[in-house]
This record gives sequence, C-alpha cells and structure tokens, in this order.
Amino acid sequence: MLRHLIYFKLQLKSALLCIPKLIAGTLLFSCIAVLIGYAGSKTLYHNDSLFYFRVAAVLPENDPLVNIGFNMLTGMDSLKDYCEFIRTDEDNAKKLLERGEVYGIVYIPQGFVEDIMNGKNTPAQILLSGSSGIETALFRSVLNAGSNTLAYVQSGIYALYDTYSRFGVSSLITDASDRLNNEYLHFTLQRGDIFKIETVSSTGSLSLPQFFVCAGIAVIMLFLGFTLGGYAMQESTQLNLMLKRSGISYIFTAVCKTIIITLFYTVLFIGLSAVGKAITGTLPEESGAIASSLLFDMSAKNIALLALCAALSVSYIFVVFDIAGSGLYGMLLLFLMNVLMLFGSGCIIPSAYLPKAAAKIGTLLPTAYLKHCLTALFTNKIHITAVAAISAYIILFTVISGLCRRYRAASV
Amino acid sequence: MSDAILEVKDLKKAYLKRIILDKVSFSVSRGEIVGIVGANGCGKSTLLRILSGADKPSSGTIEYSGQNPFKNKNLFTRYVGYIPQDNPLFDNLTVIDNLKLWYCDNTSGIEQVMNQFGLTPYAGYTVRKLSGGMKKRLSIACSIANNPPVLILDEPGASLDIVCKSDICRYFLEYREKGGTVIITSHEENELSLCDRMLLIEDTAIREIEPSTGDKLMKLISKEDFHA
Repeated sequence: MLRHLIYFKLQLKSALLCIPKLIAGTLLFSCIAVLIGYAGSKTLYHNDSLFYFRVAAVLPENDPLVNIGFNMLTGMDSLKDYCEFIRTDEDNAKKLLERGEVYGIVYIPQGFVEDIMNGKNTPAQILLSGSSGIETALFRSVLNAGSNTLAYVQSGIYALYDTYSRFGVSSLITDASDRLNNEYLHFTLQRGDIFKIETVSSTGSLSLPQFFVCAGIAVIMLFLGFTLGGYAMQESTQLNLMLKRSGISYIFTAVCKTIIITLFYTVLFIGLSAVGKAITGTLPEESGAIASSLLFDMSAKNIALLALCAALSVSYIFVVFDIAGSGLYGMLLLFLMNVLMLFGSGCIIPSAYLPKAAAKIGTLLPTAYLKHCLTALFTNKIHITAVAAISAYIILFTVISGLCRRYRAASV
Repeated sequence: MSDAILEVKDLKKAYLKRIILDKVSFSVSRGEIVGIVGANGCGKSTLLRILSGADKPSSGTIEYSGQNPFKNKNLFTRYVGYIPQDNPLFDNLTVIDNLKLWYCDNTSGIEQVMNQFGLTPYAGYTVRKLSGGMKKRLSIACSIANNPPVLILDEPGASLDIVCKSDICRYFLEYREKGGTVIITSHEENELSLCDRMLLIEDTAIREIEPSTGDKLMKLISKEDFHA
C-alpha cells in the first residue's frame, strides 16, 4: 500500500511538470473554440449573412396599379425580413443576376394587376439563378408558396363570382367580393392568426452563446489531450512490467493518471471561470450582463459535474494514447477521434443539422453525454442517465487502458 | 542439488500456437553466475521474464528455494531483482524519486545504494539527463531494493561504453562474493567470461554448454545473427 501511495505521489509530481503545457494548450484551444463558436453562430444564425434574398424587379413604366401592388408587396412584414426587392431595368437586372448580387428577377408585364382584377391570367416571368445553392432552393420555395397563396385567393374570388351568378344574385357580388378580400387581407396582415409561432431551437434549452460555451469547453477538454501525450506515454512498457511485478497493477496506474489529470482539469476550468467572472466585472453594464449569462455558478454541484466531465475526457484521452501505443500515433488518433466525436454529437454544429442516422449514433457517443452534463451547468437539470453513462464510460476507458498496457507488456 | 536456489522443471511458453520454450529444465545454485545464450529471438528474454515473475509460463514449474512463487507472488520480489533490457525508470523524475518508489520499505538503504553505485552526485538529476551507463546503474540499484538473492539481467551491457560494461561486471563479481546468484543473457564477451555455467537455448529447448566465448561460442550457437 505504501508503494501505491508513493507511486501516486510520483505521478502527481510528474503531472505537475505538465502544467505549463496544459495552460498554454488551454489558451490556444480557447482561442480556437471562440473562433469556431463565432464562425458557427455567424454562419448559422446571423440574418445578414445567409437566407436574406435580394430580388430584382422589372416593372412596367406608367402602370399605377402595378406600382401600388409592388409597394404593398415590398411593405409586407412577412417579406421584409427575408426579401429585398430592387427595382431596376431589365439590363441591369441581368447584370445583377450574373454577378450573384440577386437570387432572381421578377418581370411584371404591363396590365398585370388589372388583368388579375378582370379574371385574366397574365403570367409574371421569374428568372432564377442557375446556382444550386441552398439560398436558391429556399427562394424557389418562397416563390412557390407565394404563387400557391395567390392561386387560392384567385380561385376563391372566381368561385364566389360563379356561385353568385348561377343563383341569380349578381347584385351581391361586389359586396361579397369586398368582404372576401377583407378576409384575405386580414389573414395576410394578421399573420399571427394563421401562423402559430413556436420556437424550436437546435441548441436545446441553452441560448446560442451558452451552447457554444458548452461546446467550447468540450472541445478544449478533448483537444488538451495533445498536451498530455508526453505524460500519457511517459512510462515505458518495461516500467509498467516492473510496476506490475511489485503489485502496482495496470489498472491502478491508469486510475492514478486519470484522477490526477482530472484534478488539474477541474482546477483549470474553475480558474478559467474565475478569470471570466473577474473580466465580466470590468465590462460596461450591458456587455457585462451578456457576458455573465455565459458563466455558470461555481456551486459544489457544478464543480462535481465539471470534475465528472473532466474525468470522462481524461480517461478517453488516455485510452486513445494507450490504444495507439505511441505519442505520435496517439495524437493523430486523438485528432481523428475528436473531430468525429465532436461532429457526431453536435458539439461543433448542432445535431439538428446532421444526417438523421449520424445524429442518432451521435447521441450514444461519450461526447454527447459530455455535452449533456456541460449543459446542466447552465440549466441545473442533471440527466441521471447522462451521469450514469459518463461513469460507465470512465470505467470502460480505464479498464481498456489497463488491458492495453497489459497486452503491450505481454508482447514485449 | 541441496543448495539450488532456482529449480525449473518442464517449462513451456507458447503465444497462441507459436511455441517459444518447451521442456525447459535446469537449476541454478547459490553464488553462481549463469549465462543464457542463443540466437536473437530464441526466447532468452521470455525465459528471464518468466523467471522474474513478469510473465507466466504456459506450463511447468519454477521453485525458488523449494517454494513456488506463482502461488505466492511476493516470493518473486523477495527473491529476484530483475533488470529488463530497457531501463524501467521514470524518465522525467529525479534519481532519488525513482529510488524512493522501490525503496519504500527500506528508505535507509537509499543513501547506501547511491554511494555504492556512484549516484550520489546525480541524486537531483532527472533520469533523462543521465548517461546510458548511469541509467543502467540506477536500474540495478532499483532492482536490488529488497536485497534479493537472485539478480536477473537481460543484456545489461547492451549499448553501454566499455567503462560502464566493466563497472557492471565488477558489480556482478561483488554480488557473487556476497552470496548472490546472477542470471544474465548477453552477447558481450566480458560479461559471458564471468559465467560459471552457460545455458544455450536452441529450437525451443535448453541445454548446458561449456562456458566459452568468442569463436568457440559462435560455433556452438552457429546462428548467423549471433555473429552480427
């Protein structure tokens, strides 16, 4: 037992030598995580970057009804958020389309509105970009939805006209048409009556910045493994063999290393949080409020959760190095596994954007449970299944680490 | 063979279907230096690992002073000091740290062993800063923490300079004078010349040969890679 204690003490001393590397690695990967988070949020959620359509509109000159209709269309709330119509002439519209500055051109012919009112179908011509990008596909869908709505409205008006005519009450058509038009306008302008707004977020119960903070912590925890390569592989197979001879089992060596680095990780992230809190205090009120929403309380429960997450990451890092059998192969394998697992479990981009099968497999990965537990730091809702799964993974990884060492020692 | 400290009977070792050692039987008396020779890959290191308790035989028995160490694993650490070919040391820790691990039951012996192996000036050095010879000395110092009566060394002189090899040979002789038994595998003439007996492993079997070195030993072994 004394030898076990001395071994633990020596491991602690040896791990202390890794602290500068750990801190440098934390700073580096924090920068990378912030960049990924910023780029991710910019790409996926910022209104100005994507999913905002610019459309060139070529309208007939001196057609007051078309002008009224166009002004009404461009003023609609339902379109303003997603579309911008640029009124221009035909040549300029084509140039804009070629340069990719607009997603399509709408040609409105002379007497278009008048013909609709008279029950005559005069088609408007729409020219779309040849790009197969998601924006074009979305714009096409918006157009289809718009034309379908228009078709329903037209068929309603025509049906009213035919019905009233057949039953000999043509004198009531004007009143009825007005009332029907009012209903259509009411539903168009009061979108709340036909569209129930329900927010479904791919980031779950977290805000987007909180989601990326959790993902960032997961990324840092896993990629810090690069700085632990030397520590993970410091004991030669011969040394492990000698330790085994003296009663220090392969599993015990794996457990010691995991406990020690878990302690370091936990202290490191508590430190990071303290630094974050200190910085938040110096920020102006508005920015400070936003920043403080990204920091979680350092309660005993949260520290325990953080330690659990750290233990999972550390045991996973050590098992990767033990399977690889060398520092270099370990780093390559760790990089590959990290990227696959972080993508698979939705830590880099939310799972909602992944193929269904990948998202389903991703929910079983250790990183998925890691994400659940990190999420609980903000939501205070601990998933017992996630805690149980993480504990099981820690035990599994530690046992595999021990078995790998045993296998290597046997095959010297 | 009343003074036999080690008795090996019908030892067999196989990895999957590959037989490494078969029907290996021999005994070693107290105070002997026994050399185990053979071509590369013949099973010398495997035999030493089994004798030191770092590996298990597929079948057969080993007895140290009439006791089966596989029934009581403490016997291995009590009877055998084992030094594998690569130094089993914590490279990023100091000499004294490494010794503390193995001398946890005998802390007073640390100073003595450091003086004996000339390690005192290097006590605070990290192991990776030591020369190959010093590392080997430290490995031997670690392995004799329990004052074992048997020392098993796997090619102790490999990749060491002539002075270090000579130091190690001198230590073997001192160890024998104190009643210790040494079992070594080696390709080095100066180490083999110390051997009282020599065992040759050939085609999974072991047989005793006349202690010899140089051309005579080459002829006995007659394996091309031994010449290399």
